[in-house]
Amino acid sequence: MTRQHRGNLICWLALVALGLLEFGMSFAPLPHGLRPLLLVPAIVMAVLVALAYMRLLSGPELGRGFAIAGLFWLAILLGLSIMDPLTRAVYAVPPMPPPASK
Amino acid sequence: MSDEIAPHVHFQYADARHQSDTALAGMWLFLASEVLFFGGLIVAWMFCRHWQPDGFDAGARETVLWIGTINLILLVTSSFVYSTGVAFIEAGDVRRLVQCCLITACIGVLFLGLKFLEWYLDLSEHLFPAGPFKITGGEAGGARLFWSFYFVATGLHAVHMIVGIALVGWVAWQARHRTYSANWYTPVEAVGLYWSFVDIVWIVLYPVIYLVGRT
Repeated sequence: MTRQHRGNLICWLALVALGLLEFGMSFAPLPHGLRPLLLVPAIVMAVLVALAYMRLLSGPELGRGFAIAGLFWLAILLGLSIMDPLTRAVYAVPPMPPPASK
Repeated sequence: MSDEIAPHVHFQYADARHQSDTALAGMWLFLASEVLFFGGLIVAWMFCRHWQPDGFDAGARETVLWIGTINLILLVTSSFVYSTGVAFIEAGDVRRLVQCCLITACIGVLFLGLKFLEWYLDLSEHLFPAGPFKITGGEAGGARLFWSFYFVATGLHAVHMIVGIALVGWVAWQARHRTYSANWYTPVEAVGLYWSFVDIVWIVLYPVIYLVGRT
């Protein structure tokens, strides 16, 4: 077994373990606001695939630049989009006064 | 400068490495645009879940978790198999590359089969957001939003899977006709980038669809 094959196998085992970890974590009684933390293992898995199977670090420099640019603009997209729901204050509508009787 | 060029090198490139790097960079540029394409879906998910939390999670609880989990393992395994095929062609083993491509394509077909089964089960449960809907009451609006997101996201991913299976099959066909060797296998690498990206999309969609709302 070559070094490349061994690396691929180790990465696959890590991906399966992380997938099962997030599956198990989903049954934990997390509050509603903390449930998106279940995305953390998925992000680690995505990084593993990019590094091991897509060979991001050993690929062409221009390709790395495009990958970083994609992530940068994704961060802009998600970051600016989430600003609205995170910062918008929702005020209760004041009760309407009863109509004046004539 | 000599007028002769090496095999697989077009005239505008300095050498085969330059040509290969340019092709792979082109695929990375396409994938960067795909990141923003799927990023819009994630924005929709964030907004809908934030403003309709109870209904959105009520919709997510109706998903078929076992199919999503098996599909996650299948796609991760398919990326592993394809990467193994790339390692084989680097060593000049064309026969093993063909085998790995065929296994990868079969896993992809199995993924799609399970996805179609899941859609059938969803539709049988009246979970299509238009028309009669399973969830009623105050949570119905958020649940319909979730199922709209679900069908758009899984549908777009399935389209990418179909394209990926066709590309992997094309690589296998080309390899079978001895198009690739240890000296030149750029299309094998480029298709591998695409296939792994489709894998990453499912890795992200899996918790978004099946896990986060399952309170």
